[in-house]
Amino acid sequence: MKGKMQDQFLVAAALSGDEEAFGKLYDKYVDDIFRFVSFRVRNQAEAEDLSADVFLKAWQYLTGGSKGIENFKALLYRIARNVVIDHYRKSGRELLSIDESQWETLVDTSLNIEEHQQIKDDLRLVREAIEELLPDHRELILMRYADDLTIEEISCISGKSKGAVRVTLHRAVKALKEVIKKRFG
Amino acid sequence: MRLYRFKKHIRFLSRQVAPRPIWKQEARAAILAEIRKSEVWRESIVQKQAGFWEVFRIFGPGAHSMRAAFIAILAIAVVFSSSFAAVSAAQASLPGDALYSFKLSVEKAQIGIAFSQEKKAALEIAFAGTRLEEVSKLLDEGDPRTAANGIETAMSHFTKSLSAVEERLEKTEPGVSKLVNEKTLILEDNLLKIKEKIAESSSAAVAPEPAGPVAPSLEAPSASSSTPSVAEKVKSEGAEGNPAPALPIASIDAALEKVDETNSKSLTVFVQEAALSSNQDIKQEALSKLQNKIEKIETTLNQIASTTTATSVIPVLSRSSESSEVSNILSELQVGTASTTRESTPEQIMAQEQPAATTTPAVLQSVQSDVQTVKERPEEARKAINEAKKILEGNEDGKLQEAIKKVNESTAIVKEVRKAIKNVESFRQPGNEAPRSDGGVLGTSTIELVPTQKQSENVSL
Repeated sequence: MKGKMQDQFLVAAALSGDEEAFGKLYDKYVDDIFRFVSFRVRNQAEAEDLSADVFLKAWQYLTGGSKGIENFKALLYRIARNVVIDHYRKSGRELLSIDESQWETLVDTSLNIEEHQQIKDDLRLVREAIEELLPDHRELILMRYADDLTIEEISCISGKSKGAVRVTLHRAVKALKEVIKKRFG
Repeated sequence: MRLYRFKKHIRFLSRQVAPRPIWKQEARAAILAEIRKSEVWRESIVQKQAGFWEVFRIFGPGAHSMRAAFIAILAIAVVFSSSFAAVSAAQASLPGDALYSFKLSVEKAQIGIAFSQEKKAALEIAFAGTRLEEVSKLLDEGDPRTAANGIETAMSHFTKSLSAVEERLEKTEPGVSKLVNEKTLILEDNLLKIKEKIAESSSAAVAPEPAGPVAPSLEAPSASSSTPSVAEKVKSEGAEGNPAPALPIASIDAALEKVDETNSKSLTVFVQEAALSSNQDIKQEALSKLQNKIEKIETTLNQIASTTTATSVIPVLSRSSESSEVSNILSELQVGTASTTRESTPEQIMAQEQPAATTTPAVLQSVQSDVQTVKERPEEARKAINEAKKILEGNEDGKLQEAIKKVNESTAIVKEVRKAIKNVESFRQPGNEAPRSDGGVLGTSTIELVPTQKQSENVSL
């Protein structure tokens, strides 16, 4: 049993009083959610606080009413997106305003110095390219390529139709191509 | 850099971002702690197991297909999955019903999707309780003899559930031993009530012998004229070669023994955990549970001691040191039993005519050994209990573990003695199926050599 079906069983078990089932869902998605949040906030501490908040809000959502849940993963990302938006709203900063030092703190410190430096350099190039995109395009590019989400999942998370997501993503990729061409020749 | 390299880079880079392991663990524990505070968790399936299927409501319009898929995974006939009524019907089914095995499969699946050992154990105990409810319903519906097969099926599943619980105890997950210890006491109470109910129903159906140690046999016409039809019916069934089934007392006794075993095991695990814990409240709780157990064992020992009254065969046998004497007593007792049966089956008549043939040297030796056990071993159990009490009175470290060893020692002896009593009792029953008039309660009456069908006392520790 995999994917959505497994998630639904875990959700059912959690709601049947088995909190460990929710623990399994946490284990399954915590890295992804942390990554999603990390790419969108200023530092590790904020990323950790907001990621934990995402799971608590997910539990509250599950227990809060009779709304149907078809995709738990998409629910988590939707909550994560809203949590990040709320965070930026409170802090008065622009969504996805990323600074270099913040990204660098996210790189795995267990790597050796050479690998670490290489990744940091690459990260800088990627960051510079993304920075030039419009916020909407930036978010779509990150969701599709950094978070590895499908069009369907992005549609669930953003609340837009699959067609609309596809069109916007196409434009975002086109814009990214132009940025890459301009910056790297 | 081209687009495809950019994509490759961003994917690779995103994989380099990972949360700190320590944060992951701490956040997990904090989230689960929050969940345990929530109302939904507290009103969970374990407390309200009937509402299991309710959780599928959360899936909204997809709930029906969700349930269907779930049932398919259970490898249950697809036909059932198409109707919610079928699931409800299965939940209300009793042993012998077509949907009963479906009900058991659903329970198995529920245990399967529970992740913690504590939850699994809680479910298994809850389902063991369901088996008792089923037995109770079967008894409400009719005579315990007609429901005997159903009761035995339910009791067999009850015992299996407890065996699974015992396995969970070995995994020593915190919380399991305490839960099991407390719940098994409730199960034991309920089992005793069921046993009482069976005894009452059977005495209502077949009136007991007005006096004397021998209960009426089913084959004999009842002494009471109020229930001739029952006696006649039973007799006619016997004449047709379809004797009425025996009372399902033996399976209840086996279940009582199992629940006692599970309770003892859970206490041992709980005490061992408490001994290693620094929490004084847990230590105090373990002490209190141990003291309760000691009191129970003492009560049982007192009840066993009451078997030394004049009406019991055990003191008579225990006074006889020579094999020939024992043989004579046993032979006389066998003849005595048969002669009190008003109408005997051909097998019983054969048994009466050849009493000596059944009292082989091996049987004699076995009976003597059992009698010796009943005579001597209780004293050893009492000694172990007194030692346990003495240990608990002291303040030294490790007293809990020492005391539980002594308690387990005495429990094992009591079990052995009970088995010996049962063996001596069953020696003299040549196929008689009548229940004991007292419902088989050891201690409330003496152990009499009443013809019994593998009956045992229902005293549990």
